[in-house]
Amino acid sequence: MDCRIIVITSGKGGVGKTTTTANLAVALANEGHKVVAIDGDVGLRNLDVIMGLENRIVYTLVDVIEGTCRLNQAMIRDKRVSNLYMIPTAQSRTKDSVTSEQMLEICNQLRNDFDFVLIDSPAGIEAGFRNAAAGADEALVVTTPEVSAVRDADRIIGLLESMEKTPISLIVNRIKPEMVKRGEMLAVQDVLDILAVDLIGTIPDDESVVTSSNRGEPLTFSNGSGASQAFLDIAKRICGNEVPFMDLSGDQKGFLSSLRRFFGK
Amino acid sequence: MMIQLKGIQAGILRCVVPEEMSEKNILEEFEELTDSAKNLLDGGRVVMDLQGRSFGAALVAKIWKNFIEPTGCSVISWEVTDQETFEALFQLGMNVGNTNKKTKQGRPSSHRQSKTLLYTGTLRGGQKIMHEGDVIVTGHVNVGSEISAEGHIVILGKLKGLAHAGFKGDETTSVSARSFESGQVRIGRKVGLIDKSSDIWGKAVVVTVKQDEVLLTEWPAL
Repeated sequence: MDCRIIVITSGKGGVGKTTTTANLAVALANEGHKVVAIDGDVGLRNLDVIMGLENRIVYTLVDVIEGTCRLNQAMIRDKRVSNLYMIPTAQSRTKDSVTSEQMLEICNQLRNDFDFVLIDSPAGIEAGFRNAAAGADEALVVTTPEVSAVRDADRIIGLLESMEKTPISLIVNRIKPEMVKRGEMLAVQDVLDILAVDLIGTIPDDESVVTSSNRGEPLTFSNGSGASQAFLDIAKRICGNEVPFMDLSGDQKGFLSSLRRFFGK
Repeated sequence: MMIQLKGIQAGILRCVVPEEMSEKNILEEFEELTDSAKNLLDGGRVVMDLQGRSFGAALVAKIWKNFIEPTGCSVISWEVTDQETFEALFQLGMNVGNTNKKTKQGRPSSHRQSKTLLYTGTLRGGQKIMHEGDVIVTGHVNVGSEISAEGHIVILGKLKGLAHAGFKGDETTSVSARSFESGQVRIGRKVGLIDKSSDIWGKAVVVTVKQDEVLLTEWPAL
């Protein structure tokens, strides 16, 4: 298959870009694809921690750009799943250490060897975002159902459209069905109505995301929780499979809720 | 033929890029200007006059990165007559003006001939339309986006951003939206403030000025 280079971005910080990058990288590798995840957030390195590879870093993306090492020397192979690699970024440098042209050159070098290149973008709309997006063909925009996050996602979608990074697909993260049901949180349809892009995934709010990030074990290694299943579904949709979306509307349809409805509770 | 910096008024500089220059020459000239005119440009306000040459988004981005950012100047407006350049700048969220000049020969522009700009799609946060005529938007006008039109504004989706009809002072103009969800709307020199709790919020609305006041009427007005 042709290599697909995807930037994972959001505009607002803290909505789950890095977690999404790590989990999708693992899920796509589990599907049998050869995947490399690049940490595009120069100076605020985190992808290595979430993927549990921080102790194996020798060279970084900036070392490759400066000619200190070859590209394959900066690539860390994940031993837990075949075909998964990560390129960390530098923690002691700033966003100016990488240019759009250099990012594009690195992505083009990876194009021949991988099925998927996932780029974890920094928050914001400045040079860091532009550099991360420069090498990508398409984009995944992550947002949470909060007005501020949706507004920033709207801004970033406008910029991605002007950079011709299409298709642009949307992931709505940290949905709390009970809050949606009470009308205290934007529903996925509300977010879609504002952003007017294709939805590729909805992820429920899940405490296990925090513990897995702290442990350095992306959830998709151990298919268990709701969020884990949501990431696996997104990976399948990225590959072109039709997978039904989880019901996160807060309207319970299980046996117990039917029983409650029957008894009028 | 070289890029010229001219003083126009109140400390504003006009940077004129001749049409005949190649991309390579433009970038070299801007590089030289960055060194030679840094003191003049630092903190200054500049009108970028790109004339009729076609500039893609990539070239604009290079000019931004290699000239505007390093010199510390702020661009108050981009003046263009080429339609593709207008669209590229607009997509980048730049303040584009002077689109009513004569277009490049052989490149017809229906927007300017009819003085109506049809924008297909949703106007996203940070994007801005400034047009010397009427403006029609087929999608939504999202929060953080702006439309300034010399004439009327018609929005077929939701109006959540800022719409300013008759921005040169014409208060006979109007703003029409299928769903009105904005806290502020402007017609000519009048500003209308609308509260979310208003009965008209979220409804199809026509905004006009009557007896010196901004009037919101539910559409259709029976």
